[in-house]
Amino acid sequence: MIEHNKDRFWELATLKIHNEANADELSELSSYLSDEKYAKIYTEIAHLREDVKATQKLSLVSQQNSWTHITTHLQNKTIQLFRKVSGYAAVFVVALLLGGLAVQMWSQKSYEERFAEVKVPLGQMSEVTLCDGTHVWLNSGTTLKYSNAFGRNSRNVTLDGEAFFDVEKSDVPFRVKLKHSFVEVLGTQFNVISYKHDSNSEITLVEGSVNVNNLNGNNIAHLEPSQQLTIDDESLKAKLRTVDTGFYVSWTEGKIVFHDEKLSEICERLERWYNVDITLEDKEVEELNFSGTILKDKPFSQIITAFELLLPVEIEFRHVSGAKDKVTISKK
Amino acid sequence: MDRLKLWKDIQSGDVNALHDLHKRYFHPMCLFAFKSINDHQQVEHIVSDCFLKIWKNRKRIEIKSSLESYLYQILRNAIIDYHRAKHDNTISFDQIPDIPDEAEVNNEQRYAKLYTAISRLPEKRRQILELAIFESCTYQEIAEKLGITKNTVKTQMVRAYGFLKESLDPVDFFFFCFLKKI
Repeated sequence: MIEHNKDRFWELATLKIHNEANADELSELSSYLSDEKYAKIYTEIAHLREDVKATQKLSLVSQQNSWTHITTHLQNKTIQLFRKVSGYAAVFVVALLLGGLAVQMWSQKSYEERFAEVKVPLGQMSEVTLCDGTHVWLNSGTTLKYSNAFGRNSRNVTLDGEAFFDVEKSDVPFRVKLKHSFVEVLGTQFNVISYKHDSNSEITLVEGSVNVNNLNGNNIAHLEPSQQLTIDDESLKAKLRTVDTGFYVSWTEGKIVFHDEKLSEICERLERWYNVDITLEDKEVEELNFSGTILKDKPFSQIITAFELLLPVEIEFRHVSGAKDKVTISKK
Repeated sequence: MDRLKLWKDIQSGDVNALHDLHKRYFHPMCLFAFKSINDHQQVEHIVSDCFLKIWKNRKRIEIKSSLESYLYQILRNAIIDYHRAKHDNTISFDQIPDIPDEAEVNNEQRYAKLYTAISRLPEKRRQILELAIFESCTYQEIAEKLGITKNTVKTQMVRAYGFLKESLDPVDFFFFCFLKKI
């Protein structure tokens, strides 16, 4: 008769659960299981394999990120509340006149400027509502920075990346600081692309009107709806043209809609969206025009298939571990 | 009952209480959402929004049955809205699971607990366990993949199972002593 030993029991039990036990081991295990103590442990762990399997999907979500998302939105709420209160306070000051200066000095002294930063990882997008009601969609790899003073006397934000702004109308100008320029508006809808590593910035106006100034406040250009301004970040040389705004705005709805757009421009957007590197092999391919809609929640492979079906091109996809995947598009 | 206290704290505006609620239910709620939504980003987003909704409406919410069933009610509505917004005709509403009963919530909480326990395993041991369970690898395959002996796989699996059982059932003190020994 084999002497029972707890370590041996555990070994046999896990072997059995993972179908690794041979006939001898199985019979040895059953001799353990006639003992109630061991039988009890066995029933408790027999399901563990399936239970662990059920947790697999949890590695795809992040409790940490979720909580950060929640607190960011809670904070927006508190700032908004504060702004309402400070608005009433201002009326009060004017009404009383007396002591107004003191209140102002006090509020300035006790106030320390801090910055909030919203970062969107590559291949993802996000949106925020600022406390003045302005809604901002942030595209892949974008950082938006704003101070806790936002909304009171100024509405300044700093952008690195691509964002679509739906600015709430107000007398306080809304300014977006880019690398070497400012976009200034009162209330309007526009898209800005200005990544730190790109050599130019691009502003597309949907409605309203915007002014683009250099950092000293001198006007570079004034935009009307459907106009797009491209600024060279070095020389600040600006180029104005009329575009189909849908192409630049549709990403906020999780799709890219393009109407007779050049493949080179489409690919530029796809690169950021899917966090891949796309090379167009020849000039002819760059100039190909294409109309269609790409949905963000579709895998990149589907887009490749569609391109190959509809355009005279060949596409090679190479997975690069630890870096961006490489896509080469060449003439068929 | 501490859940009642938790809810009272949330109603009085205590963000820490909301955080506690989030810690307790985020993973179980994600598991529920995963039953009908595959996109993990959407799952995270939808579940996060449930907590924001609760916070926003905390003063108006009157918990009739239990905080839990209220949470899942919000979540289920959000899931239905999600499918509706997507115009997803491939899924019919009766495919969206019903609000889980207490036993099911307990089960999902058990999985969440297990998930935390797995993440606490030493790196190598966790890797072995995940290969065995997620990838359904045999001990031999794992040994080859990781360049270790089959015997090591065997002992590491025993320890992993021991640790998991312990973390699900921490009252078993003797067992804990036994674990320390191996």
